[in-house]
Amino acid sequence: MTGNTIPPAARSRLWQQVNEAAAEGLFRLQVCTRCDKVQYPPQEFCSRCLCDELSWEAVSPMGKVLSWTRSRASTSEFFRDKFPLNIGLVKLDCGPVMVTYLAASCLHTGSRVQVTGKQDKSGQAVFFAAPPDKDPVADFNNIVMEEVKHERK
Amino acid sequence: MQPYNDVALVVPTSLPYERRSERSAAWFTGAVFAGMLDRAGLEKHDIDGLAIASFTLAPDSVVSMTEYLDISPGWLEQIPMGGASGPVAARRAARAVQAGDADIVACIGGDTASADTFTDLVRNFSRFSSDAAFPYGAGGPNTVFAMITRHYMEKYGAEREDFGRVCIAQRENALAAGTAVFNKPLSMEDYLSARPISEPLHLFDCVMPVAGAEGFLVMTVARAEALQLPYAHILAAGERHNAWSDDDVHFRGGWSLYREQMYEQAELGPGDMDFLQTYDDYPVISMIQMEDLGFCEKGGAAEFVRTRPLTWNGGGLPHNTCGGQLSAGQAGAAGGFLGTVEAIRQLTETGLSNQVAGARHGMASGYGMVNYDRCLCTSAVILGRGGE
Repeated sequence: MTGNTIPPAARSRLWQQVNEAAAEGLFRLQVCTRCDKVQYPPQEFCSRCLCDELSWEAVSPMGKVLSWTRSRASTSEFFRDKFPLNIGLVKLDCGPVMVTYLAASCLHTGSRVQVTGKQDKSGQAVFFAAPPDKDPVADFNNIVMEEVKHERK
Repeated sequence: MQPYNDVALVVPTSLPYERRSERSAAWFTGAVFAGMLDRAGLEKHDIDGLAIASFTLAPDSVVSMTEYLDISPGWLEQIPMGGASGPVAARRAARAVQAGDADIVACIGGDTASADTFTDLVRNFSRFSSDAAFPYGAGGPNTVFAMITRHYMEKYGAEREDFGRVCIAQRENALAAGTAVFNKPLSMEDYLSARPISEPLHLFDCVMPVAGAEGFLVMTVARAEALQLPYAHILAAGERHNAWSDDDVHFRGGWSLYREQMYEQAELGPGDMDFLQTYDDYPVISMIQMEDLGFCEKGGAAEFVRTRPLTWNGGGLPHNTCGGQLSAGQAGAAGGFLGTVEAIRQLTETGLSNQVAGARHGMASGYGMVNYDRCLCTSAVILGRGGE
């Protein structure tokens, strides 16, 4: 098992949609085509109206910190030289509550944050909350997948 | 809800917990089963109902256990509710006995613990968790409950010392019971200076995964009396799952939705409870249960634990009288049985080293299954001393 040299990589099939949005640099979540509920974590039908026609749509990535922790213990070897690890519970303006990595400047309940999805070193997308217009992963360079540099003409 | 008349809970049985074990969950389940038969003076074929809660029994199940035990029950139940499983098992088994679907039901919670079982368990705990919670630091439940604890502290003004009071009282109870994995006294200074695990949680706020099993038998009062077994009655019981799902952060549980019905059915109030056994995966969760079960007002548990002794012999509210999981360790789903088994023990045995003097009624509550950002299952039972 390589599970301890990279962050946890197991995800549901639906998570591929989250990965694709993150790869495109977009913040897309499931939206119910019948009742418009924005839903997270993803599942195959709307938990409010039970409609199974859901679309992945760009929604507001803005939210506020509900609570947070500085984690210093892990079941995975990967994290053991990365403590403390700041993790938050973020209420998105569009409804859902997300567990995210949290920028060190946002360790206050009520902090306004913008949430961004990026691949971690497992290759799966995770979410980072940071002050709007700041580099969302500045405090997490040892966790995010290094980006392949492309020359822009 | 119909009463649970004529149902007896007997032979509360706990296997000593082990920090690590090479044995399987089937061994722990079988050992507590054999122990209960021995104490009840029954043969294994007298048992025609079996209810099991276990995380590490997989890929086996309660079905596999019938072959391991070579018994042929007519009633089986597997309860996938972790920390809520004890009161739920008692409730369902009682209904089966009342309806005549089973004569004697063995209710067992048991799990093993090897170096990898806890990691394997939290990695695959639920789909929401694997997708959207566990990848963030792989801290398991500590991460989620740290955030629940901070929110509770900020919302209600609880301090670390308040959580410490719960932990320290339970350690005193554990020392009196003499059965816990953690058997050294705990001072407030020890508690406050412990290393941080996931702030604001520190070492003594977290339970240690261990191996162990807990169980009890459910039968008619007539059968218990024929066997000359002391028994406890179920005076009321309830369960509720995924309650208050619109709360952005967990600060109350389903107990608050059925406690009034329970007290009404039992014709008792919180003040009549001679002890309370809560599910203590973290001290904040015990405090939330004290509130939601009506022992104090919502948000008032910090003040409650400042003024009310929680030790078995302190004259206040004896709470988690065997030390709870915070001292005994968390033997997987057996942790969901620990409080129920201790409650039955307090009401059926005499001369315990941690005996609550004159206990006639008590409550045990359960809480389990952190699917994403909180546990979804809640349960509770009010028990009374049999023959009264």
